[in-house]
Amino acid sequence: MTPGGGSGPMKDCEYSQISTHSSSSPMESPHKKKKSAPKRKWEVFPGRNKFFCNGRIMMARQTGVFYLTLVLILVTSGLFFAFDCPYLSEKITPAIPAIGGILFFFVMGTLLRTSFSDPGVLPRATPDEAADLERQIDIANGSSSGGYRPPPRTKEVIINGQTVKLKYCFTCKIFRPPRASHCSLCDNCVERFDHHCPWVGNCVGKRNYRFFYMFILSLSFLTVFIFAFVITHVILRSQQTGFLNALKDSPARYPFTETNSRSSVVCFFSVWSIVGLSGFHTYLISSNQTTNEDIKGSWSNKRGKENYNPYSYGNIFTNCCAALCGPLSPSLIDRRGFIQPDTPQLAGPSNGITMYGATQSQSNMCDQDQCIQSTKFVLQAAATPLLQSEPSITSEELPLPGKTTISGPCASLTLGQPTPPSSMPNLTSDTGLTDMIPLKEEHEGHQFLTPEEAPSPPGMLPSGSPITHSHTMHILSLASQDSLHEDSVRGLVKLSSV
Amino acid sequence: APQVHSLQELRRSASLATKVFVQRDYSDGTTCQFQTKFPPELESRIERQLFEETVKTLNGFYAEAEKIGGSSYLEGCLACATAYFIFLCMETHYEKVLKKISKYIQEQNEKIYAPRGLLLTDPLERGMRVIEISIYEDRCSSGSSSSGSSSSSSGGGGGG
Repeated sequence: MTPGGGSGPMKDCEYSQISTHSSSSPMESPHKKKKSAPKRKWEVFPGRNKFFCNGRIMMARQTGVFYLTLVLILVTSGLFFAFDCPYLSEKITPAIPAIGGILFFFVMGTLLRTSFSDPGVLPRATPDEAADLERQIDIANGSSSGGYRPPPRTKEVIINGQTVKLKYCFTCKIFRPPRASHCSLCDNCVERFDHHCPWVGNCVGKRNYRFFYMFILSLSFLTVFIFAFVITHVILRSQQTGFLNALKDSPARYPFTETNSRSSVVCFFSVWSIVGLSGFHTYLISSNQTTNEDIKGSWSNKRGKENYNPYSYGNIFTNCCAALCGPLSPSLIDRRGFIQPDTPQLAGPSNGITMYGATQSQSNMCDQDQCIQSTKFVLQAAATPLLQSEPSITSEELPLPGKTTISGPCASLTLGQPTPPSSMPNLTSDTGLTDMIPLKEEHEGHQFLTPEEAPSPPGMLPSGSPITHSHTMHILSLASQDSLHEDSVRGLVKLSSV
Repeated sequence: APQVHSLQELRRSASLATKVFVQRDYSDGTTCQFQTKFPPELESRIERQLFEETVKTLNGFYAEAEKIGGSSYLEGCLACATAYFIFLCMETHYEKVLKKISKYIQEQNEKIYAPRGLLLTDPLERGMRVIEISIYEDRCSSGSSSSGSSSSSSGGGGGG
């Protein structure tokens, strides 16, 4: 009885049994991963944002000051309309409350738009993209990354003759586009980042800058308007009854002075700060700068005579028009979209804040992690033979911090997770597709290799160690193909259904 | 040998080998443009000229979406006059162009890329950062390679 010949057909029978079992219920493994209710993307958004109305409204985490802003505006305007407008509309013209009403409407509309809309958040890199970027950076640096974080990565770009440095964001795993910045409060990269405004409870960026500007501009007009007409009201009343009498008579029958004085005080301070802010932002718009750039002095002449703003269109009018009337780009984060089972999930959360509560997204991460790891193995094996695989793979562990509930196939390929050899058959059964012969060979190949790979680091699975062997790269590509098979098929089904 | 696939055939018989990412070209500022540099991984899969034409057309679409001129000013002023409430019922010019882009990408996939075992992903799904091109390997070729490895490992497979 030859072991090789005898075991071969026997093994064939074994595997064909498994294949029929799995092929009879092809949707079993994806079924395990699907939650009963499909989740929307905002529910697993990795930034520090709050969402309302099922994802339609997006704000920063701290919104206390925003409510204060609302209260101040509503109360001051309310007092004005209740106590000053009746008198003024009689005495002077009813146009006053009308104009006041329009201004108030405009202020509220722009405030809510600024606060509730997406400022231009850049979605985090998918695991594939992050891996590709890492690989490119490693090649560019010409060294293995080792166990420590490599020095800050920058790319230089020449825009309109000016050299601009693009920084790599470690949280979002992308090279930030020019003028983008990472908001530490919201933990997002925002395009054309201006500043984080606590008064509106949101970041101000590319998509809501014009709303913000219109808000502060209209608010300046409103506060000046209210201030002016409150003063007018007091003066007119005092002309009637005498100034001191007007103030004396107030509390009992004419609460207007108290309310007026309150309105006036609020207005007085607001006027200077809001008008000042409007003026500042008018300057920024006309020179096409962001608050961020202005504060850092990115384009000031003090840095050098050759330093100029490459984004400016040259004249004030065009700059203003571009900022205020230019096209409005759509939101890139698709908050209300549903999570597709095969959609790659975003790069891992920072600061230990875990947003991935759903097993679905965990398993999505797993699938994509398999994707990256296998792809990365293949690429790394091709590029740098006999490289220490553990440190480079450690970087791939970042997307999955401390996950213990990963399903079988994941665990078999995710490094750093202790995996019993019995998980290997899980891989074959869970893929649930045909093409059993390569699977069988992969299994055998792994079993063959495991005793061989004595010096493999702890926690390293057979799939990791074959990097160092050229012929096992072959088997590895099989492993990657088969483990990716399910993923890719689902991906294709989704893509072709578009 | 080039494999001829339709989108359905790809679904049945291909498996994902790798992905190539075409990065943004920022030399013109913050406008959305992609690099037309031909990725070396696609060397054997598609003609350079076809790829470049796809990217150039996409760049043209994005430039059209972000163009500042008469119509965009009109839209902006109208929106401002209505305190931006008009966005609740109207689709912006940018969104209209994005729909055109997604149709174009689907058409390119069906006609040019899927037959070559490639698949373009709409940059909008990747935050307008990259054009992701997925490269698929034909299972027929992977089957032949696996039979090659099976003969090598079955010799020692009994010891496992």
